[in-house]
Amino acid sequence: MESGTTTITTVDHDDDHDHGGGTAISDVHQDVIKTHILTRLDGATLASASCASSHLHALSTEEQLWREICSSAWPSIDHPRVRHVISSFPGGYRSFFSYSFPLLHHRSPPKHHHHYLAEIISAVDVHYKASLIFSKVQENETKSDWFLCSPFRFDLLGQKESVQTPIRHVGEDQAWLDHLEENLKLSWILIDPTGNRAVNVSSRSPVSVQHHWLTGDVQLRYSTVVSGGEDSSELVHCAVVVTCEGKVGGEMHVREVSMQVEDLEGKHLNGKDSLVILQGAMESGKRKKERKGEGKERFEEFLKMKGERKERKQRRERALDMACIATGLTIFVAFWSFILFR
Amino acid sequence: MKFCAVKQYFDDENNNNITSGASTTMIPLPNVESHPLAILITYCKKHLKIKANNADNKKETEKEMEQYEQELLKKVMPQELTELILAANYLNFKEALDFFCRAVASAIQNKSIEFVRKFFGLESDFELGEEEKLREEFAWSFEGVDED
Repeated sequence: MESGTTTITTVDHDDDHDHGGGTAISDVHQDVIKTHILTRLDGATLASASCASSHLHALSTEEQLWREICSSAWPSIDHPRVRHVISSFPGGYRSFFSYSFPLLHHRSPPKHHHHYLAEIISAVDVHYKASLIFSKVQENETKSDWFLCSPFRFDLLGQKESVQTPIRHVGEDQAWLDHLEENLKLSWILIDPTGNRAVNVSSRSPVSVQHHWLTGDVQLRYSTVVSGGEDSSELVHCAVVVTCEGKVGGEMHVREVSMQVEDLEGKHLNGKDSLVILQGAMESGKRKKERKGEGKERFEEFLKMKGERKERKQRRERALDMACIATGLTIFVAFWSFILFR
Repeated sequence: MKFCAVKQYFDDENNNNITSGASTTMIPLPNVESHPLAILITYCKKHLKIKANNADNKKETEKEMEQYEQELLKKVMPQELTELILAANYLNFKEALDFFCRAVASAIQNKSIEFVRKFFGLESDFELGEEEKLREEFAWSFEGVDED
C-alpha cells in the first residue's frame, strides 16, 4: 500500500441526465434488478412491478422468478409430472401462480365445457407455522364410469397410512384448537393437464376445528363455497378435511386428508356433478386475495343456509303429515257417521 | 471486500509499477455521484467500526448493523436508493448493494402499480390495450394494497 493521501474524484451529473434530474431504474443493470430486487418480491408485488412499464414487464415475466415463488409457496409442484404440466401452460409459472394463489370466489353458474376432463392432478401442501409437514401429488383419472357414478372423494392417505408431524398435543382445550386454527395451513391445488388450468380449492386457513371427545381426533376443515348449479343460489362446498390424532404430550399424526363436494342438503355429489362444478371453478372462477376470516365467514354462511333449508324441509314434511292425518281422520269420521246415521 | 473497483485500481497501478512521487493519488470514478459516494463511505466505515468493536460476537455485529441500517434508511430519500444501487454496483461493494436492494424491495412491497411507477420514475409505455389485459390477468393482486 502506498503512503500518501488518496483523493477520489467524482463528477456531479445534475444537469446532464436526460431523465429530468435523477437516475431512473432503467440505468441500473438488468442483472442487478433481476437478482437483487425482483427475487426479493412476493407474487403480488412482482405482479404490480410487471404492470409498471414494459421494461420491468420484460424483467418480471422471467419464468425462473415465478418458479421460485411457486416452489416456495407449494413445494409439491416440484414433482416431475406437475413441472411438466406447468411448463405447457401458456403463461407458465406466472399464470399458474395467478390461478392458484388467490382464494376462489366462484359464484356464477358453470358454463358449458368444451373439453372433458380425463384426469385431475392434486398438489397438496400442509404447513405448520413456517415449516412443511405434508406434501403430496396425486393423479386421479376422471373418465371411468365408476368415478362418475360414485360419490366424489379424493383421499391422499390410505386406510392404515398416517404421517408424523412435529406438532405437540398440548391439551384438549379451546386455546390449543385456536392455536391449530392460526398455524396449520393447507393448500389443495387441482390441475387440469389438458385444459392448462388450475385452481386452489382450499380456504388456506381452517374454517372449522373440531375435537371429537370420543375418539380424541381433531378434525380441521378447509372448505370453499362455490356455485353449484344453473341457479346462482344453489351452492356447494368443496370440503377438504384433515383429521389428526395423537395422545396428550405426544406428537400428532395426520390420519386423513380428503376432499368431497357437498350440497346444501348435506348430500355428497357424485363424480360427474362434482367434475362439472370443479371445471367451472377452474375455468371461470373469480379469484380474490385472502382477507383474514373471509373463508370462515363464507363457510358459516353456507352452514346457515344449510340449516335454513333443513328447517324448511322439516316444516314442509310436518305440514304434509298434518294434512295426511287430517284427511285420514276425516275419512274415519265420515265412514262411521255413514254407518251410524244411515 | 468493499470498494472492489477502487482496490482493482490500486492493484492495476502496482502492476504497472507506477512510482508515486506525488503525495496524493486521484482515482477517477466517472459513474458515481458525490452524494451517494459519501453515503457509501460512511456506511463502509460504520460497518468496519462495528465489526472491530464486536470482533468475536457475530450476532452482536449483525444486530448493531441492522440498527444502523434502519437509522440510515430514515435519512435516505426513496428516490436516492436507485443512485445508491448504481454507485454500489459500479464500485463492486456487495454488502451495500445487497442492503440497498433489500430496502428497495421492501419499499415497494404490497404497493400499487402507480406507487411503483412513481418510485422508479417510470411512465406507462405499454401498447394500447396491453396494460388493460395485464391488469385483468392480475386483478386479484391489486386488492388490499397499502395506501401510497
